[in-house]
Amino acid sequence: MLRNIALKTIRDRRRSLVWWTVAILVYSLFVAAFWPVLEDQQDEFAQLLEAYPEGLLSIFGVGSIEEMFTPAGFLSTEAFGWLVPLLFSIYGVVIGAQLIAGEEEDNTLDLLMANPLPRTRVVIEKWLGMLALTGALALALFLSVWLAGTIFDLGIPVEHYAAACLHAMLLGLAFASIAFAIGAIGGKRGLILGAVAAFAVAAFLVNSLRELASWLEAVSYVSPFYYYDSNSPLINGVDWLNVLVLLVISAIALGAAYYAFPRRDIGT
Amino acid sequence: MAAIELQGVTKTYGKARGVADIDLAVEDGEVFGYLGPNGAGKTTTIRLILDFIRPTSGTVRVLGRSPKEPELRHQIGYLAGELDLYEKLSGEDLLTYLDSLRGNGALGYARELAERLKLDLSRPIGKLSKGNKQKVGVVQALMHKPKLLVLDEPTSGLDPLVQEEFYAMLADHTAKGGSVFLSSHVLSEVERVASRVAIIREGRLAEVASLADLRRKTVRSFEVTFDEDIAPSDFETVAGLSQVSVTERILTCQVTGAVDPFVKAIARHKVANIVSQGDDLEALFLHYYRGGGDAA
Repeated sequence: MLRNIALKTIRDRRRSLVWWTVAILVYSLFVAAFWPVLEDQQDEFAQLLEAYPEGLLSIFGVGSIEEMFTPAGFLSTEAFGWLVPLLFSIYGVVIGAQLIAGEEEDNTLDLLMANPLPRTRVVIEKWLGMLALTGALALALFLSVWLAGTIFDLGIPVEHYAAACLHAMLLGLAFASIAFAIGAIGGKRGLILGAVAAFAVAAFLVNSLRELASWLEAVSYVSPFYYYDSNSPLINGVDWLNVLVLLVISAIALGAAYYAFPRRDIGT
Repeated sequence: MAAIELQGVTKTYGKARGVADIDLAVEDGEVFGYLGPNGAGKTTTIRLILDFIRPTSGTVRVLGRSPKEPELRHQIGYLAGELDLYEKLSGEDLLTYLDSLRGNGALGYARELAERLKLDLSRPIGKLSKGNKQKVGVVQALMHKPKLLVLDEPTSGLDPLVQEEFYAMLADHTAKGGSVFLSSHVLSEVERVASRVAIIREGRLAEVASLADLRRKTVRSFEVTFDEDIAPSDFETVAGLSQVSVTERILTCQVTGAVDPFVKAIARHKVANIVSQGDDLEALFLHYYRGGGDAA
């Protein structure tokens, strides 16, 4: 694991990845275990939900109350509608901010850059490390929800679990890449964490509430969350156009980092 | 070929003071001392040599090449002044990682160096004392047998015995034809090993001289207590003496360069005690600061 920068990037976070996996698995089992209860008492829950304002339901990913009482709709509401995208975007921002800006602030970037490595290689390897980390988190999520869904008989096709997790991974990668690029250009860790996390929350809200107002709908196209869930991948499978947009966001950010990092002073 | 060559190098950034118009050449096989008080621009110069930062104007050449060429750093060993390592890794892991990045297969030699410094490589770096961290820094700088060592205050935190071992390692390095660029704010750290010295203050080179030349310019303060009465006139004409003052039986004065005439002069009287101050850079800097002050 100490053979190159990409592997060390993963190694540095292997323990936290294990804990995230455990947390995701426990949460998935807990949520799925609740499904049979909900299915039995649909009517009571529906009455309860009707009392809530539409906006609040939107934030939690409840598109319509009927949809809530399908297994996929239920799982969206309890996990994929809000917890999963927020988890992946925040995870992305945190690792993205750490890899260049954080290492620069910890002063270990000097140690790294004193080695015979082109700066472009450092950018590529660290980005590949992020790709692997968001992929690993998505894999943990996929295995957890698939296992929980199988145990509690949610009946969602396995490829729809995979689709939702792929969208989640690419959302996390997009945010990681944005945070990473700002660090590569010269932004400080605190600034990145604050600004990108604030952007993530705003973008999340805009996307969640997009059906409530036409201006929100228009703005929601700049929200990465739109491309995460506009087609409800847990219900409809992969939306390749949305996947492409998320990949393009990451690619542009990577390109910016690749261009900017070799051209700037470090540690100033 | 010069190991390091700076021509008219200026670096300015933001509000922080950089360096201005630096010209210097470190010859192959030379140990070059780079002296200056903290904040004078020593670290800025080093960062230019390692391509962490780029000059605003002027050119930097290292081993005949541009510092921008990454392969060049196979030939450079660097020890940072403010040394920060990956705290969670053990010494062994850190050296393994750096060795992979450098592709040198130098782990065996690294362990040898660690043994010479009595460094325990199994402990996490975050749990090491400052001195032991510094040893890790020394090992990683030397392990790949670079041609050029760039060392920023290398002996800080090392206890005297370890310093001796470190100087022996430097001697090995230079015996094989390696060059050293050693920055410090303490003259004693440099004068053990350096043949030539540059003095930087406020971002500009004040002097580049051989150590022998520098000693000739070194100003030392002495306070001599005698067991008999003395007169200022006994000393005022002695070569190299200045600021002579006599109070009761105590003489205070400054000696520039050779101390022999001064020693001979006081030996004509019965000496009770001698206190010497400033046999170091501070006194030397004082000299240059005064020089700078006069010019302004």
